Amino acid sequence: MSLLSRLAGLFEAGHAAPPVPTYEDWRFTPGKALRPAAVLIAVTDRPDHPQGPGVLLIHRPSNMRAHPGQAAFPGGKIDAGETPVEAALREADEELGIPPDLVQVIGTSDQYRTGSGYDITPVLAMIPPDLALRPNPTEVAGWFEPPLGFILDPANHVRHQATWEGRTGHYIEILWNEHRIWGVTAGIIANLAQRMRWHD
Amino acid sequence: MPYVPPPDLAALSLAELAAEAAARRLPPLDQWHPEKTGDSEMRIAADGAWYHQGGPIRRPAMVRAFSSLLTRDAAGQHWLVTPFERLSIAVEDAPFLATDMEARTDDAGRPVLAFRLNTDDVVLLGPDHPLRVAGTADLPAFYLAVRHGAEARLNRSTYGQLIDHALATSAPDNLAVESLGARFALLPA
Repeated sequence: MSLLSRLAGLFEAGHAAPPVPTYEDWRFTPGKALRPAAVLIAVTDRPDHPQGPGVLLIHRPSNMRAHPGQAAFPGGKIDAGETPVEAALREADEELGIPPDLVQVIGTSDQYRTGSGYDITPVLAMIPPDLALRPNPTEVAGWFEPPLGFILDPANHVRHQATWEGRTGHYIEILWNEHRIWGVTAGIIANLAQRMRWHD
Repeated sequence: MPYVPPPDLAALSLAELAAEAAARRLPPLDQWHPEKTGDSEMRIAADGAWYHQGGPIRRPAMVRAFSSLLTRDAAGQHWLVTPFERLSIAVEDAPFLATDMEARTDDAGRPVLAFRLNTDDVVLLGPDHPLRVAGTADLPAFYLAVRHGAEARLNRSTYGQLIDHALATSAPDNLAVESLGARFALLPA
């Protein structure tokens, strides 16, 4: 079975059920107007890698206005007239130089509403391994590729408590090598792990 | 994600059984028409166990996920269908196994037979999920239509439950069961 079919099979089976977003951004304020955004969860086609396929994540530059310094999926705001898939492919091309025609889209997952005012649609896709990526320095400080199996493993999703504007909530943190994935991105990953039972 | 086993069939009311049967959300296989075909390198043994490249698949959630993609074509070949590819899968007997049965009566007094599958699904016997009897009179084999042409074979204990129910509700020389308004003879055709 190809990796694409395995991913697509688990994705479709997992998304047939109604959404159960266990991890919403606890800072999200109902009633606040949200800007639509999309991110690309680009899985690298490495069927024979000992740790399995990887996922592309970027570090945002520390001087960026929105989510500075954080690990994130490539992505951004959806422009007028764009679908979430089109926006995710455009942003991944702009930020990392991933040619859209090399991206095999598998599907869109549960939307994630952030406390910072975005309504994010995650787009799961597969890309060829070892693409010559060209990070755009204004939006990307660097990129890394943790194994999909590592980030989807609930055992690696550590819950932390935090207080913000007098409210207390939880967020997820995923540590891989020297990289810290938390906040919005870890929340999206935790939701996807509920849908795609990569491990159990 | 820890695996949470479903409640015991015997503990469920008819309404709960019907809710479980309806609750299984399935991918929209009918909407996909992949042109590409391939081999899943998977096999489902007669005891319901799944194998990939010869090794057992030990994750129940993985089996449940892939079992929702199963179809069988008119020639009897089973496939796993995704939007991209249709993958052949070898099935020794039937892809599902029915592992438990409960008889209930609906508000109108009609019998309803509910089956639990090895994939945790609940299937209500009836016009949408008929029973097929194969084998011989001495050694019958019972198959329950699950979905997309794929069937569940009743395992030995479930087959025993079915026969006991039929003995209690029909003539011994003409064993049959009724469920959801349909009647199924228990002798091989």
